[in-house]
Amino acid sequence: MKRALFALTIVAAIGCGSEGSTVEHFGSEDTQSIPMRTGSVVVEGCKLDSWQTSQLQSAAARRVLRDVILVCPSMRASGDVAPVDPDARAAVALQLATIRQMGYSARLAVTLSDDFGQPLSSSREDVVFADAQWRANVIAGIAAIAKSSDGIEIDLQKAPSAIRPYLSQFIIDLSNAVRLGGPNVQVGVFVPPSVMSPSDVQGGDAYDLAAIGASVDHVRVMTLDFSCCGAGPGPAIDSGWAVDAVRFAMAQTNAAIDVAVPLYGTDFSGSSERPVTYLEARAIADAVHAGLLRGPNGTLHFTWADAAGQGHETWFDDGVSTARILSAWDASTLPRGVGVVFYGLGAEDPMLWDTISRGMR
Amino acid sequence: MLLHAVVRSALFFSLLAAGLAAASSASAQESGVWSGVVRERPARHDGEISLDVRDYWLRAMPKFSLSDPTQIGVRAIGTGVLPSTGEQHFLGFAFDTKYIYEQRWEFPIFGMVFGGAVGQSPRVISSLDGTMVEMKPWTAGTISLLLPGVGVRIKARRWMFSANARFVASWVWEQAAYASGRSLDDSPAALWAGTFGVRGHVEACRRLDVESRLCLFAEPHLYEFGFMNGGSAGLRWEYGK
Repeated sequence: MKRALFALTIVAAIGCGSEGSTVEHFGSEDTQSIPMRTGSVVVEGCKLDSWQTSQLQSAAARRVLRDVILVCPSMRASGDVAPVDPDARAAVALQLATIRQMGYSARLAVTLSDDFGQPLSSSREDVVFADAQWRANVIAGIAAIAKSSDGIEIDLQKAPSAIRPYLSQFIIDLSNAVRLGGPNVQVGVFVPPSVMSPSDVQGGDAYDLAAIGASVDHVRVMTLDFSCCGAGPGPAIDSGWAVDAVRFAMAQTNAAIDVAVPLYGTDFSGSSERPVTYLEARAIADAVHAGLLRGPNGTLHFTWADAAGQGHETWFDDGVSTARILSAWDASTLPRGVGVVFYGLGAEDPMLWDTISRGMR
Repeated sequence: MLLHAVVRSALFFSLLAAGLAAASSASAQESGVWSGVVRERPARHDGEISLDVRDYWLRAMPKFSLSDPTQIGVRAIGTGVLPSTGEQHFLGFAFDTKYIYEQRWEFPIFGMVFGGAVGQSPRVISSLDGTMVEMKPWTAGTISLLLPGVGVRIKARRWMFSANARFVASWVWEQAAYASGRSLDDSPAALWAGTFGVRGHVEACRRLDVESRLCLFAEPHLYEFGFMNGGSAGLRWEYGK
């Protein structure tokens, strides 16, 4: 009897499964792949640096991307649209032409900021958007710059809800003006990633997608900064949350929709959050001999302490995590018509475009 | 509910099988088999019960369908299908019952197999409705109801060889976790999949004494979550004529 019990114990001990390697398998089919989607990339600035240029010249990036969007002209409270200097405008036009020569369409994203490039305060945004004359002036300025581009995008962050009617009118008027200047120039808008109404994110209620849907070609849902604004350290995107935000936008408009993917990471320290590039994050991890872990979405992260003893937690994506996120958006989850806009060219894993290109079908 | 039904059915069929085995013994005693001599006219009706330990192998685990939305931290995940986590071995324990007719024909009646995952299994990263899912096949378990079938047996001195085919109903389950921002939320319920199937069974047995045998057996899964989807092999102790 004792022998039998001993044997049973041994068998029970053996009879425990254990975790082995990691396998990725997306979709119910046997082949893993990233659905082919229209790709765009946002460049923060009016000019590409040499690294960004070389990335865009790669065959892999050409396969993944179609549009390059420069976050460049900026509306001022004065009614001007910067850059106002003729040489600077010529440089922007030359940059757009260069991007076109590389085989991409070249677009401009218009922001509203002060002379330091900082977004206007909510109270000032209220005032300027309510001013019909201001709107007319900036629309004329944008339309003049738009002629050298393939499209204009409106990129307002954390816009106050009170400007909703004025913002809708602004976008409708801008669309009419831009199309008068060049029928092939498209109009798009960057919108916050709301998943409900009233919106759960700051600035979400400023956009009336039903009202502006007929006037824009693209609605780009900025599913970025998932862990921000005091929410604590975490990934810049959650793939499921992004799906809900896109579906919410699709329910309101028939315009083409893009879902955003961050190329940058975030370093969290205390209450501060600082964007970091892939290379910077890897360099810090190497310098402090930090072990990299993968979060639930595949995002890499590590903790470290700076020279002052301040604790940090850094989260950033690489080719593997970004490819996982794109694979999670199979055609049954997000229709193939939904495009992807990658945010922050130059901050990405150098292997990103190659990884995505190899995974696409 | 399902487990209740399974347990009730198991009890019912176990009692039935035990009754058959007891009747068989009684019938054998009346005919003088207990005396140990080789009988010339074996009983026409016999029963048999058995216990076994087995390696239950699925060449491919089934896909798991989620038919109800699942609430996790950041969202409600919609319905969908999760992929197979590949091949899986289980350490299984089973009991089984048979009706034997004229020592030639055997009719498996009812049995059950319980199994737990063994060996290393990969962590499978997939997605459901856009949310990342970590599937944990090393937590898998299985239960099979061995349903009626038909087969033949032959005896040669202390050896017996038999083969049969029977219907089965099988379920497998495993745990999963869903990505929710920076955390990984364990699934509120295990992933389940079930199927009806058909198994073959061949065995070679050596008599231990007049009423018990030790057998080596193999059971190809002719259909179980897919055609020719693995099989079972193991050691079985049988009691009966």
